Amino acid sequence: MVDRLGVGIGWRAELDLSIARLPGVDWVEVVAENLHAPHLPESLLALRRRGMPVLPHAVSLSLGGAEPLDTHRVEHLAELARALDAPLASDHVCFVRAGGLDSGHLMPLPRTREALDVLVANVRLAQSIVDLPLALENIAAVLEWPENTLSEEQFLTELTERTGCLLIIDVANLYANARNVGTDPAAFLDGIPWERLAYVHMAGGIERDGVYHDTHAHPVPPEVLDLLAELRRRTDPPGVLLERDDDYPTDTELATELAALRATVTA
Amino acid sequence: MEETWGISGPQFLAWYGIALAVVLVVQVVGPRVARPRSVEHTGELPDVYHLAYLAGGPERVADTAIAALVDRGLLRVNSEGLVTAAGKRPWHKLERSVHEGAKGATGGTTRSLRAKAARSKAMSDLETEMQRAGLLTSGREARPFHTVVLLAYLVLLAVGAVRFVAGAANDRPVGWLFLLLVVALVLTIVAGVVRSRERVRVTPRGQGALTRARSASRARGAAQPALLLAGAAGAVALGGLAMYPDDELSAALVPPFQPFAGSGGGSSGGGSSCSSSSSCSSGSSCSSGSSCGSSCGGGGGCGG
Repeated sequence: MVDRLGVGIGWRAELDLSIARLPGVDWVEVVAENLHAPHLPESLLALRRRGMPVLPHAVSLSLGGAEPLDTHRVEHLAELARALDAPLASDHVCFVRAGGLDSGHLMPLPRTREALDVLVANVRLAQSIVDLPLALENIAAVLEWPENTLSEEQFLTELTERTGCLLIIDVANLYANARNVGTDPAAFLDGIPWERLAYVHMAGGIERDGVYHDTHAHPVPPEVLDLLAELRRRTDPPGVLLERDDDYPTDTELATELAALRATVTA
Repeated sequence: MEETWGISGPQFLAWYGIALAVVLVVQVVGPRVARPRSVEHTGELPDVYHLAYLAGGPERVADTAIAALVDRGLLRVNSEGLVTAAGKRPWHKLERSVHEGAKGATGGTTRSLRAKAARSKAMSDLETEMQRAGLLTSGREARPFHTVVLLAYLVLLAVGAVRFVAGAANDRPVGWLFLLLVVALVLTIVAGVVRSRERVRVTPRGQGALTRARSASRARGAAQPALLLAGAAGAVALGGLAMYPDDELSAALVPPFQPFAGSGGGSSGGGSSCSSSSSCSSGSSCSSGSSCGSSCGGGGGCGG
């Protein structure tokens, strides 16, 4: 089982003084690529001194990539996790690089045995370097590969079984996939091995031209909160994290969103 | 030997020197004595931005708007002094222009917001409003006075020059006159510069309003000015950002000392974190600039 974290928020440099003062923040998550262990921002260290857990979350390991794993990036994550005394480190189930090009976006993997084998090998190598529990997050897919043979929940379940990794379930990404590529959210939630859950991600987005955009720049829509309530019927998540990356609202609005998350998971 | 124009050299020098001195005295003392013609006191109290202007000019007005917005949560400052807009745009014109200056991923700094506010229409509207209320002089009001002073110097300069030529032609000593002519020339140039630079100044009424506001805020009486100056905006209007009533936010808002300060912009708050995109070149799931911080799963959108 994973330690209980409570309700947290994605730490962003622009928000550092706000986050330190917001009511209802039990922990924060930092984007690993934005920080360097020897030069951590003073405002983040202040949170650590207050005993607030700070968990690093990477976006660039490309664990699903067919190319050899860039172990320098994994070492960076490991070093940061040690500096923050974090209980776990994380990245996504995706690839971001191929053929020497950087997609600048988290790209979905084809859900095939072959792709899973590659992912499992990379995750095992990363685990051996990080030396902490590693959690992996479901992404919002921009597309579905035609050769998919496994459902997303099957793919994630097998991944945890073969590597022992933990999962971060991004409810907003699940909602986006349900809206945009036809994922069945109930089947997804029924198929996830909840004992492997590290925590849950929540974020806002907006619908434009019939497509749901997971912007992280809008309030969490009621449909995504409903989906969190649906998840809560299946498990009591150890942590819930609000991600807001742009077009920041006032502190009051952030506090209201955090309170809504807390109310949903404690209901 | 005939005196030039029938006036002895020393006599002319004395009168000439006295004339220069008189113009100089008028030039210096005049603006302080002359009460600007202005509308009668309307009885309305100046608002917090009027007082900010009286206390510290356009820069203080910008600082006061920043303080008011930070206090209401519509601006956010981080530990590195990066100021970003939050929430809905405010209604007040000045506050709106400051809020807009801090929008977007890059936000602003106290310095950049001051520079933007100083150029804004809201600021020139405020100046016009205060001139109408008799709190400020406009450059235009003082201009005729400085034109008269300049003309007086020019006449003296001309008379002196003619006397110099006449005296020299008459084979009289002109050394002392030459010295006075140099002095007259310098004074003329100074008067010209002052006339062209004449800008907005606080009137005695403005000074009085500020003094009353200061003593009211010290007294913390029940009088209206104390009410008007309550809160962060009031404190900053009279005392600057260092007086923002929250030490942590005050320290973040006061711009760092820069001996060779450039114009706005300043150090972006970025530091080791997100805004410097170099540290998040790859794998950032988001396409939108600064939010490389994104950890989101890509997705049907930014993902970022």
